[in-house]
Amino acid sequence: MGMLRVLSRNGDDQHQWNLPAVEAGDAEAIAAVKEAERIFRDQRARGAVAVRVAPGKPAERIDEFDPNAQEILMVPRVIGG
Amino acid sequence: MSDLLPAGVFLVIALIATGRIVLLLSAWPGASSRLWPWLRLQRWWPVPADHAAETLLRQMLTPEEYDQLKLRAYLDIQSRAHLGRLYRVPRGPGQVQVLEGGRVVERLCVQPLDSLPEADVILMHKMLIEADESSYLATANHFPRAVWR
Repeated sequence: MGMLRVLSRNGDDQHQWNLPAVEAGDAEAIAAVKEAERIFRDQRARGAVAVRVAPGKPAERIDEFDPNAQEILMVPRVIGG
Repeated sequence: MSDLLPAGVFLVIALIATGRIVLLLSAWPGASSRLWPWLRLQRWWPVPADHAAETLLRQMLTPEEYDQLKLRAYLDIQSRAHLGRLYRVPRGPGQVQVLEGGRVVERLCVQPLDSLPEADVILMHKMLIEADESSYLATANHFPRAVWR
């Protein structure tokens, strides 16, 4: 399972997709991964930073949606205070 | 009716005493940094956003990092770009301290454009420092030691 998390005032909004089902051509799974990619692009356009996270590894910035990622975390736009 | 009066008085006194204890604990940073996160982790916590953010933070940090946050009320993040540099992210309001050789050399102010729960803000700093330190530094307002000393 892949997961896209968007940090928000709700804590985080989660969107999941099932990669094996996507590769098997399951229409529902393909729609889920497309929706995650749309949210990714939308958040990036608003200035969010996307990072790929994996257990025991430092976060890694990504600029393109990675459907193979186990988890992607989107940090909304920040400003100097 | 007169039988219920002592019980009512006792209940009011107990509630006031409990409230005062919670207020005292809140004012003590060492206890506050343990008490509130623990409360937010409980399923019954009445603010779902705080519960979700605290749960995510605990999941994303190593046990050692989460323990440090509980005990010290800050999280140290090692710089990947500058050898020997450490970013000290506070739990709650406050600036991020930049330490080099154990000495605070400057303070940084970076905040989300839209409001986020407290635990998400800590995670935000960690992710940005680890994943894109140069952009983080470029975005931050810098307060060198000479300014606040």
